[in-house]
Amino acid sequence: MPTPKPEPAIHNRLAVLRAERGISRQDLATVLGVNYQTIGYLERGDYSPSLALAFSIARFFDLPIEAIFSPAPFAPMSTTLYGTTTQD
Amino acid sequence: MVGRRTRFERVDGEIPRRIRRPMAILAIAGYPLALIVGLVLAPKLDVIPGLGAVLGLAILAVTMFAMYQLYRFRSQMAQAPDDRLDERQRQIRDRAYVDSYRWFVLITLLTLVALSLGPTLLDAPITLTFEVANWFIVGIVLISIALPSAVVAWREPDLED
Repeated sequence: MPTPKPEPAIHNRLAVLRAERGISRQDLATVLGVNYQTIGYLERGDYSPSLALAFSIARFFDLPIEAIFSPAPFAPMSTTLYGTTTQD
Repeated sequence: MVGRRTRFERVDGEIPRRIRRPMAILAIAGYPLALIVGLVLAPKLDVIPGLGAVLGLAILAVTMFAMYQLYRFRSQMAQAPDDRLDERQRQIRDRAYVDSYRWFVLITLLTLVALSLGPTLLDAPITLTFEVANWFIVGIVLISIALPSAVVAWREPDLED
């Protein structure tokens, strides 16, 4: 029997977006129709969402799906905005 | 499940994994252990009359407590219908059932081996009466019920807020 390949990790900006909009895990969970703990597991990267849930999240934040989810780790905000990684 | 938090969800996560895991082991291994102590080793432990039976019953009581706690605090997920769970929980539940089946087969085979070899190796023969057979059947039923809960309790990571 072939060994199943491990699922690739999906990185996301959920925690940042949620903090930015001032939304609690419970409120987001209620809107999305999931358990509030699932939001926590998503934010920690312990769970990769289904396509349907990923689209629901993108619709909720009114952002393209690739702005929230990526197969590669997201660069830090400071790098994205200012092109720097550390302050000297 | 939208917008509705059950009693289970409110208390979910109160038992950290470092406690859940020993409880999961106890919920599965406790009953066979109680049988071994109460039935097989009882004659050897009876330096004090009834000691083997009392020890067996004590282990059984602790096992039942562990099973109840796993069910109550963490693992109703394992028995919940689809409409009470979200996609992550359904995934965990379904994987738990697959793994439970594998563990159930392994435990049943080990039990049969132990029943075949144990009495000879321990020099403590078991007289297979209806009552003794009943204990084993009850054990198989209890373990099959507890396994999905134990797998979920073992696997679910803690969620630090």
